[in-house]
Amino acid sequence: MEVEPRAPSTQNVLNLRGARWQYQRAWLRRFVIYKPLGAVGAGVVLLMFFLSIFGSFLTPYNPIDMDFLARLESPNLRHPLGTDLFGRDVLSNIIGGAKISIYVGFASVILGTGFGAIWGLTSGYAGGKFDMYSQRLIDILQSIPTLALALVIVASLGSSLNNIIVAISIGLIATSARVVRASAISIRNMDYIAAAISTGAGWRRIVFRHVLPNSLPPYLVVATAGLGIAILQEASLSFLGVGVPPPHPSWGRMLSGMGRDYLTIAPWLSLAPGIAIVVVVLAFNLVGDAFRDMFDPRLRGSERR
Amino acid sequence: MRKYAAQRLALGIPTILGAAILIFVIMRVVPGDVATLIAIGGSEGEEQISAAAIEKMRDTLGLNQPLHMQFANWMWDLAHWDLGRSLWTRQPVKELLIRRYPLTLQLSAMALLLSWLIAIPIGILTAVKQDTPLDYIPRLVSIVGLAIPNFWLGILVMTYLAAILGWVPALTYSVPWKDPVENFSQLMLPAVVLGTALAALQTRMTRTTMLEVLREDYIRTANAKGLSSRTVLWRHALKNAAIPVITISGAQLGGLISGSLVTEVVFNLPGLGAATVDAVRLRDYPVIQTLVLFITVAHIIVNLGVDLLYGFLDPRIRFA
Repeated sequence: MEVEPRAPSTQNVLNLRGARWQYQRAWLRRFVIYKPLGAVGAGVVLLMFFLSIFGSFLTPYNPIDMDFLARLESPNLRHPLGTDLFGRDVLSNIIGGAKISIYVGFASVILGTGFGAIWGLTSGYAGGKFDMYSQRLIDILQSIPTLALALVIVASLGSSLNNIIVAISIGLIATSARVVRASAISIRNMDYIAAAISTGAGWRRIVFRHVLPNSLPPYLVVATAGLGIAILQEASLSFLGVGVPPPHPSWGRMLSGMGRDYLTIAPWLSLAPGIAIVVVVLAFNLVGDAFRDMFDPRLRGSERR
Repeated sequence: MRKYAAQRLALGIPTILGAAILIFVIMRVVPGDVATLIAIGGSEGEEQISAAAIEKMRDTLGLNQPLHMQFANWMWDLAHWDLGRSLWTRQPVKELLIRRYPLTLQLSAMALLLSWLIAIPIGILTAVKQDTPLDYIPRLVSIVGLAIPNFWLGILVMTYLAAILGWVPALTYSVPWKDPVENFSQLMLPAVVLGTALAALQTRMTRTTMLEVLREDYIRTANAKGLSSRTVLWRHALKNAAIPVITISGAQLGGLISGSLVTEVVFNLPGLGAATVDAVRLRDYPVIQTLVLFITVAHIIVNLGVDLLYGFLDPRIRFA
């Protein structure tokens, strides 16, 4: 990350900043050229961010406003994606749902994989008994199928937006803890760590300056994959009737409730949110794939396209 | 090999116990009181439930005992093959399991078999034809397939097949040994929906490992010996490429049980997944905790089996 220098007084600092900017631009260009699909995915993700921040200014209607004169209208000029049984505008609900999907996705990924990463980092770096017990605990966590676990948690806590995030995030802990632990262990045995220790660096410096930044790439791969998983999980929970509760608009609920019941007479009710989910999950997966190919040197030769 | 198996088995037991504790704890953090919920029962009109009635219900459910005693009782009963009873129907969970598990098992087996039939040939094809349209198109399909919510695909397939072909799967489930044709026609669609979802990941895996294996020296040797390319691919390359695919299938088979959670509900099949969802809806705690534990144990056993198979297929792992 670019940090604004406090006093850019000397020419040297300016040159350094220029060089860094040039490097970042070159990196970006390489990403777009070598990973066009990843770049498209990143574009969709940015669009989602835009919609989730400014969506409420862009929606033609309030997502929860009912208009009983315009029930089950097929897509037309006033309602580009049609209306539902209560005359609510589908497009406005899709845009509103983008915010919820992004929120559920990012919140559960940050919570779940973040916790997992800290756990994995600590356990991998510390080793010994703590590592052994942590591994057994992660085994246990991983042994319960994620959807069943999420279902039980939501059933027990009640389905509110935040409980769903907790339920999904718990299922994401194990994988990220495993991956980060593995890379922390391999980094711990590197020569540069021994060098850092020999110069008298404390554990804080070693962990935060060396181990953490170097285990970031595999973590990013797991986290981007987690975003897609989280959004699909939310949709599944909604389908099972314990997803994001109204009045929040939710893609999962749209396609499984009314969308299913009226599939033959009003297919847009189910197709619009379904395609939205596919596009967003696909975008996250494409970004994740591009990250994996760039960070994993073993795949670089075979998959560089 | 035997020592390796014993080690893996010994690790499985504390994992199962830990999972049981975890499930038990999650079920006990419920803010609402189960006893009150049941005492009120279906009769929502009656707001006035006497404290004595709730207390009596807590007693019958064993909720007045300390937590560790409740857990010990649950484990004790399980060890005696007493899986508890449903709170609502008073039906033993054991019967539920025996009645509903075969369907889920059959569905999982069909889906897995189908996914191999799809994924392995296509995976090999994309690896051999790397960077040609025969590579791009299946890869595109599989990466899109990974993004489709499974239940949505199920809903679409079912509705549109019914609308276009005028064909509707029978609403009541028939067991395979009574009416195999009927049974097969019912499970075919859900198996296809589940199987394609599994195949999406397996295809990618097969392609990646095939690409790695095809660059190995022994493949070049086999080609140089003048073996037909079919023999090289299927007998030499696939054997080594299959190992990661088997691992991932094993993980998927464990996950299939929770995948069928949703699929069974979509297709209205009375399997274990649907039973779990019903129990969650009714807040039938003894059923939920026992079924989820059962699913977890099945998951652990499958993974154990895969680990053993893995050690069998690749001797390097056993001795590592």
